[in-house]
Amino acid sequence: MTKYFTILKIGIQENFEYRSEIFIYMLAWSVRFLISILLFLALFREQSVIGNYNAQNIVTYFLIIQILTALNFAKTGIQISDDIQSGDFSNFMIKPISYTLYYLVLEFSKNIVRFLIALGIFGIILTFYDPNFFQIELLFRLPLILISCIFAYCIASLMNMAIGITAFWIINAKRIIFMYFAIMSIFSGMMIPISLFPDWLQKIAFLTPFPYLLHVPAEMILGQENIPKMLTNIAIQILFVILFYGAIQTLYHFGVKKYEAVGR
Amino acid sequence: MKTLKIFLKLCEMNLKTLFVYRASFFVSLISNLMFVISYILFIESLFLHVNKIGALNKGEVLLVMAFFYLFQNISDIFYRDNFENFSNEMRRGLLDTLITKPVSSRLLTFFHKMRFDYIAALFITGLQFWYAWRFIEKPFAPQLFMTGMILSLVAASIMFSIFSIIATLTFWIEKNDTLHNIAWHLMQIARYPRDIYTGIARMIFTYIIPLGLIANIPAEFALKLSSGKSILIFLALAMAFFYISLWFWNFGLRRYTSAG
Repeated sequence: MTKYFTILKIGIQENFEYRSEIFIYMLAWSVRFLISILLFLALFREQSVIGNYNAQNIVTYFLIIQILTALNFAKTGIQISDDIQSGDFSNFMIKPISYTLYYLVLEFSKNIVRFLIALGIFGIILTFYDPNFFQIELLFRLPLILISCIFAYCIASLMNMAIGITAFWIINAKRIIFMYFAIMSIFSGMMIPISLFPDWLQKIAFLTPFPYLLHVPAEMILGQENIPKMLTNIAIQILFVILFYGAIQTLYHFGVKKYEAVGR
Repeated sequence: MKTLKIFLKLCEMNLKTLFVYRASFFVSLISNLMFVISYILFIESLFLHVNKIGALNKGEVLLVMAFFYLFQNISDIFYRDNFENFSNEMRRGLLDTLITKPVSSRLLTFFHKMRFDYIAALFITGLQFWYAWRFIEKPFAPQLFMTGMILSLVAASIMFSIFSIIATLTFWIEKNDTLHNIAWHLMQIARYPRDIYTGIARMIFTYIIPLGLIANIPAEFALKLSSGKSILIFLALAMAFFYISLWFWNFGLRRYTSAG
């Protein structure tokens, strides 16, 4: 376990080596947040309610989504695909370390810093914009919310990794990962709350793991779910984590046998 | 003339690459289709609850989105990959081989690798135009539509200029792997009707960073909604951004010291 804590520490330190990258990253995500808010506020100029949301709810929702995205947006698949394509994967094969755990921890070390910065910036905005949001009930829900957020991160990273590992067969998995981002952007609730989908699309969305990345933790934070519902959703998240971890182990086992690194 | 010849030669070289990796064409097709379907589902979900976004109905909003995808396709084909890899190439010293040649350094740097497999995405964009026009009550006017397409080329040049300015910042920042991140997110501003931007946001996204115009002006022209004045402003902004970004690139290049 010590080696993984070391990876975590190095990953966090790497974040601060090029500090301007963090600033640019936050700026980029703020642009996306701004566009979502401007779009919905334009809609609320014509009507006061859209679905279950008024103008204040929707801004709160997107502020929370922004904070959660900083934690859950994973690019491990792209890194794994690059490793396999370039042959750098060979370096990991000879190290006494689990390849998948290495990237899980490394990605977490990068995302946790961004999450804390996003929490600071957007949390402050939320405090001024919607002071009533911070009710005492939030404190009671906080342990379950944190557990859900951690499982959401695991699902996102493991899904990404599973796709990245297909590079053992297809060499470059980036195009498939971009397809994943396309589906994730709509079905995770990042662009629009899932409750605004038509009923048939909501049913399809909840058959996939994507709502459990952002929408479900956001609903927990907003107090839209009671404790039994929160526990059910966390159980579903655990199932998805087990499913994707099993898929990764299977793909990795067969992929390593197929792997060739020319010139290494 | 020399610049045009070099540009065409770069196109020829990259087109040959397409026939080596034929599968990339089909993978790009599917990848682009997924993105387009996601955004269409988003617009369809919104219009379950509203009748208009700004002053535009569903068909008109989908048309703006189709024009957005058209200039995005153009940028993906000709220069986007080069922007995304620019920071990496600079740190590894690969930029030296491009800027030391007796041709426009910006042309070689941002057009040496083209992705003609993204031509597949143009088919999807064509389908998107068809889908959008199903919800537009106005008759289809081919001349206006083709002029809108030409204005998309102008939009692609504005986008290139903005990308060029962001990339040039790498000469000072040095490590800018999130460059493509910010460029991609900025592009999203262009996706929606410009009516959603009001006050200071409208001024910024119209005159300072004209992303609010680049998909809207071609769409408005195709729908006979735009005035000659807005098109003139659009063309003037395209020229202004081109020369400002070129000046900034040359200014940044003076600061560049090779990685060896």
